[in-house]
Amino acid sequence: MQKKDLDISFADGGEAELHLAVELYGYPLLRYCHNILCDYADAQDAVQITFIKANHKRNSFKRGTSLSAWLYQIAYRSCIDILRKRRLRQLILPPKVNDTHNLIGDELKEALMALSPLERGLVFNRVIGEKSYAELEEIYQLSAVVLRKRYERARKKLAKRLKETHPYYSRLEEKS
Amino acid sequence: MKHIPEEIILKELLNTIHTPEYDIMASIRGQVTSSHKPFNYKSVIYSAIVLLLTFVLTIGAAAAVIPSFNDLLAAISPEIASRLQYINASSMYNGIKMEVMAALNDDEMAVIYIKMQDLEGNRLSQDLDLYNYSFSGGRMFNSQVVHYDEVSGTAILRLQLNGGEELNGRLMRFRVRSFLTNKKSFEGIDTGISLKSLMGAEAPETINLNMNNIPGGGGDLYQEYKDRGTIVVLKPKEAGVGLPDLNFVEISNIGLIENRLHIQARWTGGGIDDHGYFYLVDAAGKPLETSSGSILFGIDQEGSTTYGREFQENIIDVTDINLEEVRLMGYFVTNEKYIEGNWRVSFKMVSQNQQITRECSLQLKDLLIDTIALSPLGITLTGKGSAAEVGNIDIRANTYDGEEVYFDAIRTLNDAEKIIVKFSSSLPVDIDAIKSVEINGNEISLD
Repeated sequence: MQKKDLDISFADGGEAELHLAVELYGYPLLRYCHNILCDYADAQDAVQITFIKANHKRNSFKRGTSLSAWLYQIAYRSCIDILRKRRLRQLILPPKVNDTHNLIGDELKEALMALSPLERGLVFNRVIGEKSYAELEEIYQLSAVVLRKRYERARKKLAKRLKETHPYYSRLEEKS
Repeated sequence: MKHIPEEIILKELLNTIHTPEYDIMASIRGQVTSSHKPFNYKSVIYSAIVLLLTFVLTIGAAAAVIPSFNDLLAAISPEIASRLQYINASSMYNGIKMEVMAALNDDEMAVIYIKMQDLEGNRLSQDLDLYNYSFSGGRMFNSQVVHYDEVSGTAILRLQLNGGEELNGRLMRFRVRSFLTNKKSFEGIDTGISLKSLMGAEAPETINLNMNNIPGGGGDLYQEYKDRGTIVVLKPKEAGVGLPDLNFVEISNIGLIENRLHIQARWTGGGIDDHGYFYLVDAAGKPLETSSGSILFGIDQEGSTTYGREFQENIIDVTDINLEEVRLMGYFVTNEKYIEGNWRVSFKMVSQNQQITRECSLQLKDLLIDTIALSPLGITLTGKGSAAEVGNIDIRANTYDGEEVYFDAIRTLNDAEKIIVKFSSSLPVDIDAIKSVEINGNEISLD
């Protein structure tokens, strides 16, 4: 079954369709959430919540529209919820030991965390996901003009910060 | 997709993030095979924390007595929720409930949060757009969905009104007659039209348009045409040029008038709010910065212009642009559903009037900013000079936590004496959390 077929069959499908959705989009979504949350365990939670919600609300998915965009939309909101809860958690619980495996690298993580969650999502979706502004509109429910502006600003901010702090940035700059 | 060098570097660095794969299906299988909603112990703990903080942070009373409070709380932070005036007035029509939940009012403007819920079907969507609505007592500025829950079919909208202080204590009557849902947008549509053929071509046939008999328009050239009183627009051709995969718009004529490219669109889909614009891109696909404008009008049976929205004359200034080297692109939006009804509520507005004001002297080219005011609704700059600089203002607020708050709407009021520019945010700002305001890189402390 192709992605387009799944766009049609997901709403009325069963475990097989969910399985296929996980197979097709699970890992890209995990990377996406990891970029936004900068924490691997939270990213796993976000992806898990995304697919549980998608399964639970599958009747509300409009048959024939982009399942990918719908899943990214749910994933983004799940990340925002996790970030909000992270702030609440920090208020009353001892700080959580984050990402002990250091899967991101200090400089990159610091630079990413200087962006807002929306900016991190946009940079990932444009640079790694290569998504069009039309797809981004579906995901973030903002106009292409606003998204383009936010992305440009986020990209410049991230590049500036990495240029100042990341040991490989200037090397890559010379190479390009 | 082509990347610029900066993006290539970022791609290489982002690709260094190691995200180990794991069996996602196995982790969710137990929860999705059950017919019951999954029990998530983390959610229960988090919900308890939210509930606890809700009461600790002084808004417990509101949460306890206002049924929609938790819906609103989902969209805004508890700190902000504590500053709202709770209203809870509702109206039902054809199975759709509209409820005015809360309001916030400062010197310049007011914000009202309304909830719309379809209790009988699935007619609402995240892109719900109020179409025919009115406020007696205040002039509406804009509306925006700030929260949408697919399961319950509930949308929370923020409405902005001009007025501010003068609305304080007044009885407001809010009425919605229709709205649009299921928006579809089409970005980067290549018209495929060769602009080269327009160079040296005969002058196109035109007809007169009375700018005082049109529903409106937009863009930076619009006012210039409006001031002319009567202008010429292209004469629509019977057979228009279709656009790839779009069945609601076609190009009814195209040509050069006064060294400006006129692209005339005819809206053929019958959609109530179909709209869009045209733009030029260079050989690399990068949009060109051009002056442009658009004007809506209709055509009567004799072929003369009349009041209407069937046609849209799009005008792009192509001075200094080689038309051989650019492509004409378009961006279009249509809505699938147009829902009519009659939802009406009345309520009294109470001003909160909480504001931090700082005097400054910030010169932005021909514009001197002398006062900055921060309220939960946004930032207001007051100054003197040229309003032309307003569009170049890049503004953000920095919180004590190191977060940045951006503003997504701008409104300018200017007279001979002063220029007032209001930047508003989609959700209320917790002004106690703001440390400074940054304008075009200049940081102004609010301490």
